[in-house]
Amino acid sequence: MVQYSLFAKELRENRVKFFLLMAALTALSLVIPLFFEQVRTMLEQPDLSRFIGPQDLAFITASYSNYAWSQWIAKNLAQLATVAAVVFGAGALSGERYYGTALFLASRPVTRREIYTTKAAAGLFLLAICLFGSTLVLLLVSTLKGYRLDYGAFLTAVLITFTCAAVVYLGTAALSTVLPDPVKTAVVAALVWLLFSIPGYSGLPAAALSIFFQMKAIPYWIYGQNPIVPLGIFLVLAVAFYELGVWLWNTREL
Amino acid sequence: MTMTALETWHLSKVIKGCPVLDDISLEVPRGGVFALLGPEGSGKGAFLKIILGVEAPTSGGGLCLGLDILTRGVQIREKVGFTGQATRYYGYMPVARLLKFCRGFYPQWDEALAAKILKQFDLPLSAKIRELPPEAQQGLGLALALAPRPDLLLLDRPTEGFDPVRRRLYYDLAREEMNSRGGTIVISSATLDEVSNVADQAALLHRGRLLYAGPMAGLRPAAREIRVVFQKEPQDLPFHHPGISRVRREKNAYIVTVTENLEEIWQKIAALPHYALELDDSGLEGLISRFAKEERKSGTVLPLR
Repeated sequence: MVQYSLFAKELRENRVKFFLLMAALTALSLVIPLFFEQVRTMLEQPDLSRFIGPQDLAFITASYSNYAWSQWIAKNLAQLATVAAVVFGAGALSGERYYGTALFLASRPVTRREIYTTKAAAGLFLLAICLFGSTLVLLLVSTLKGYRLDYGAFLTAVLITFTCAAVVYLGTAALSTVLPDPVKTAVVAALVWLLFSIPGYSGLPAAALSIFFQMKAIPYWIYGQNPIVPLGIFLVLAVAFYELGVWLWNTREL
Repeated sequence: MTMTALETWHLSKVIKGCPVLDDISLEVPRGGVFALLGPEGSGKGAFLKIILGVEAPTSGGGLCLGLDILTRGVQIREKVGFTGQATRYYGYMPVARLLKFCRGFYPQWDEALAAKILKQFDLPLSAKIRELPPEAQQGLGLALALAPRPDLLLLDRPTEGFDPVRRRLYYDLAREEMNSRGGTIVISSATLDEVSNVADQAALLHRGRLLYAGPMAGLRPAAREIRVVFQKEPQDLPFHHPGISRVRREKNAYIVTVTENLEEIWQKIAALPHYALELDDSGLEGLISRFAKEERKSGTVLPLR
């Protein structure tokens, strides 16, 4: 199902975006364990209660795991994973049409489904490296600094973030079969995903309908929700967007 | 093994409500060179995409190398080399990387043949594709189309804008390779000039309809006209050559009517400094009106067999 030559080409074409995102994520992942002591001292200042509620403050300072989750998964990772998903997804198919190479590619002995699958696989692979790679850096530096972290729970939360990012990526890739310009695709995708984020600004339970609320793994980390539920739902959504993308790509005139 | 390289029956394609191909039933025999002629927008490109299995027809069907074009697209594309003027490659790639990229798609790949064609077109492996002139990119396209050793070679307006010498080189390379294996070449073109000396069979398309299918000789014009404006009037005009039947003057241009040896005469004239050098292309329009008239009279297309 995955065509090796095309997979390698996709990795090469996305390498600049990948290295930039990876560098940003790695830098942010280093900041969290390296500056934890300074941040904790800051959080203990009495006048900070104007900015953070006492409950939130108590939760963040309760353990290094909570602190790392709040700063990494619920903040930096969720934000940059969305950006990465839109950036990688926007150029997936529209790039071939924009540069006029779609017919050249489609005239190779490969089905359109294989083309789409290979491109999607390459994008998801890069997204996974970005998310898990930078998280591993965080885990490693945290361990070296002697902080105790619940690795299993932390990686499960990152998996939820990745699955949500995969939905955003595959939705954007499906859009890239319709719009023949990567920049326009990225702008339209960003606007569409912005609409999807609206429920997240309200309180629960409506906030739970937002993919970006789920991307932070809030129900799992704070409310102890079984991770199988969000993972299952977002996997089904990802497959639905993938099939939509394949169908749209199959119906395009080249 | 079937005797036809290509066979379609009642092939039609409608895009956004507009008929692009209308009831095309055509047979292309195995071996030799077949020309698919028609002006811009006649449906040649759509026909080739359907044959390759890249796009589906709205109705009708066909066989390409004995394989169903509706269901066996991948197997067809393994056996069919395709390139054309409109083909765009990944401009950022060096030639060598594009070759490596394409090689990964095919069960067989003739490295030596690709290298031979690249050499003929003076194409260095390290050159970036976006930096290559159009003719060199067409040479690269030919190398990519022939390297998988196809049984059928589809060339979509491959030598538009080529001078006769380059065109000859291009077709000689394609024919030499395909003839050695009994392969078939189908060339689509919007100009008679591009194919008249290489094709032995031809079809003429106009507005998605097949107007003619038969020997190329049935489409070849009796004479061609070269229009030349010299930079400086030559002392010895190069018009004393077998094959030139008439020379007339129009303002500062010479109009040379050629019945034979077109390429030799073209080269002789082109060797002199000139401001303009053109070959007439009125042939196709004349043919279309002639065959459209015949079609209206008889109601049928002239058959290939």
